[in-house]
Amino acid sequence: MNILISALLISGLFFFIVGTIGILRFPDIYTRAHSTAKCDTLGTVLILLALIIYNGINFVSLKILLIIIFIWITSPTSTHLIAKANYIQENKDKKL
Amino acid sequence: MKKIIILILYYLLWIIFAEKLTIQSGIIGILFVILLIKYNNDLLSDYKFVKFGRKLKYYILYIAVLVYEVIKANIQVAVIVLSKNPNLSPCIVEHKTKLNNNFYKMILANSITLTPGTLTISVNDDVFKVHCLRKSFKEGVYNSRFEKILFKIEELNNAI
Repeated sequence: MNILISALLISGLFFFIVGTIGILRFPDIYTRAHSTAKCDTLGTVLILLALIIYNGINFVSLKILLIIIFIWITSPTSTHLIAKANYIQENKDKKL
Repeated sequence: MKKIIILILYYLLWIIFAEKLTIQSGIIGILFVILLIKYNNDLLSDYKFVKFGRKLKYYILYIAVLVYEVIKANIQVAVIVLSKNPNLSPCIVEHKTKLNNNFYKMILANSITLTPGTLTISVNDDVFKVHCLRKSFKEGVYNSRFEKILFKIEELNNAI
């Protein structure tokens, strides 16, 4: 069981590291948003899954499950808003 | 019928938050759930609870496809980030969807953003502006499996 938990934690951390490298390497705001989306979707979920398995089935695990659902709903919404704000800004510059 | 299903869902959520089921927390929970349904009613008016069993089957299929696509796309983007020469060719494509219901459009836009490599910028009526990390990700937007499943759910909704 400990091996499974460690594997989940390490793969979650791996996706976080890749996302951070992506922020530093990619050129503009859209591609950086692509890179950070990885941290939220798979990195966080894998780490929280490891916590659920460590905890066993009780009310705390159910609350962590709710956090996962909440992250999967809110993360794309905020990414979408950042991209939309940048898109409006760029088009305003073109018209002027 | 619709209100009873929502009441049960809200009450399960309350039990999870309260961490125990005593007489006191049960009564307070019932009061708050009834107040919530009373004041949130117009937010849920868009959603129809017809053919619940068959829709539930499609929703479970949808979640499975979503998890599979997210893992696949994550590995693809990780390979791009770590490769020595990331051949980026960012582009913005427009995609016209067949969906009518606002709720399903929201689910589709969020799923497109959730899979790395594609990112919804704006939704106007039925035109999605999608930003792709590489030109090869375009195909996944034009014929996505998400839209087919959502379209089937919407057809079930319309044929009452």
